Amino acid sequence: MSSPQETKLGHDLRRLVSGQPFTPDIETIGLRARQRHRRGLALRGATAAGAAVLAAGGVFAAVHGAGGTATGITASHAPAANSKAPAANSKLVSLAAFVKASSGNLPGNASLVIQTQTLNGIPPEVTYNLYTDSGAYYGANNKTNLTAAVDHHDNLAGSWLDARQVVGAARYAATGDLATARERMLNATPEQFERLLRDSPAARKKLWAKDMAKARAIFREKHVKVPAVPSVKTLQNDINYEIWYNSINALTEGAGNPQVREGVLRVLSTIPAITVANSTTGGQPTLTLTAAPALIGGGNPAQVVTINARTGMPISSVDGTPGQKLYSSDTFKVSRVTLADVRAGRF
Amino acid sequence: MSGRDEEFGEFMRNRASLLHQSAYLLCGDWHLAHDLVQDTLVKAYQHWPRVRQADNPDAYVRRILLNEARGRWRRRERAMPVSRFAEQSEPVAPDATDEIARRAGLLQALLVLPLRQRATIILRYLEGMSERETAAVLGCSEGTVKSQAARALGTLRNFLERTESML
Repeated sequence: MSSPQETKLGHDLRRLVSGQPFTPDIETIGLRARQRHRRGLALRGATAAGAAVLAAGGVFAAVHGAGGTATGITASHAPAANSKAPAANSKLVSLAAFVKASSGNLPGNASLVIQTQTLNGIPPEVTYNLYTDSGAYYGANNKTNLTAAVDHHDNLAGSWLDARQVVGAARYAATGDLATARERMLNATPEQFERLLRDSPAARKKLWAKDMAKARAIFREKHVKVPAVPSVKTLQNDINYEIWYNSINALTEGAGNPQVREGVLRVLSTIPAITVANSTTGGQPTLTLTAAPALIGGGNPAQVVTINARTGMPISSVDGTPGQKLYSSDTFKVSRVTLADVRAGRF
Repeated sequence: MSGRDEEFGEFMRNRASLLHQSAYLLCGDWHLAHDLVQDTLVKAYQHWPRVRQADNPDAYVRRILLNEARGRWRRRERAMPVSRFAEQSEPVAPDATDEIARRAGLLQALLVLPLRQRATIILRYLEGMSERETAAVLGCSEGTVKSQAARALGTLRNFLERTESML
């Protein structure tokens, strides 16, 4: 797109967003900020007092609130369900053990993940992602640009959408305590959620009512129904969905490392809403992991991730059904390379 | 009103409208954009001493906005309307006027972009940031901004050409 077209795009975007006045309410913002601050102190106090604080993510009322309205109010205290890992899926546990047993020294010093994404009929988009063992990440849309990115030290690690946290959680999960591994995977994206406490349903309801009472004026102002306290099941779903999402990210981005794959498989084995079935893809034995719609959220299609049944390598990730309107598909080709080879264009 | 409130209030008044517009293009829904900006400003207020002392407070606040949007994008099937738009993301047929259809097409095209590319387009072409400023917000190099923008523009052009062909 040439410069005049870019100018036109800017013009079109401004027209698209014109005519929607917005006046932020400083008092409401200040009130909410102070509430969050106090809640943070309360949580820290509870920890110090020996309360069973769970390093688990919370949920915004937005997730459960009427019309998806976000308020930033803590959803509730978490169910005790996260205190220990649920019964593990045996197929995934077996594969994790096999991956561990069959992993030797890693060749090369980086993993190359070539991802091809198809979204709702738009021509496929290929991304070349290079994750070095020292923690750098380079991304490009073709081989030449990847070589240039490495040459120019265009390291994206530490920037927005950094995957190191989830990959780190997966590595821990390979050998660590499974309940802790779940918590780490959950909290790999700390901005996502408020922190939750384990608590009884009665205490949860009480806290929720207190929060809602404070926020009632805000809801009234916005003509939104005050959200009901989320159920334990809903909270468990949210936590499991987040663990699923982060684990799949770790699997695709850290796929070159067997320790990451092993950890991801162990963590995924604890999510009851995932079904695992034997399958065949391109003549090779695979496992198909299906996250039920109930886990993903009302009325949405299942997410299906296919992995190699012997190595745990990701092969594809599909949301929805091919041919339907809401459909996206990613395929992955994972290999080990050296930075020197990438610089030389030999990959 | 405290001095902190006055200072923050002025900062907010000067930027809230543009943040709101950016949030809309990130999520495709005015109500959710409102909530995104409110949440962003709550966080900015909470961390105001750090924000005001940042080298680039604007970049800091936009990063909060993008992180908020990212958080919801990750739970997109629960909290964001993106999938609703994605369901319609085949180019729209003209209905009331070609202009309306074009705008709807542009929004749809934007919403099917990966979030990072979408953010790049919004920062560069709605907010008018330079490549350097955009890189500061996204925490990447200027070269990456260029490549992200190029890819996004390619996708937009492709999508919009298909839309135009229906008009």
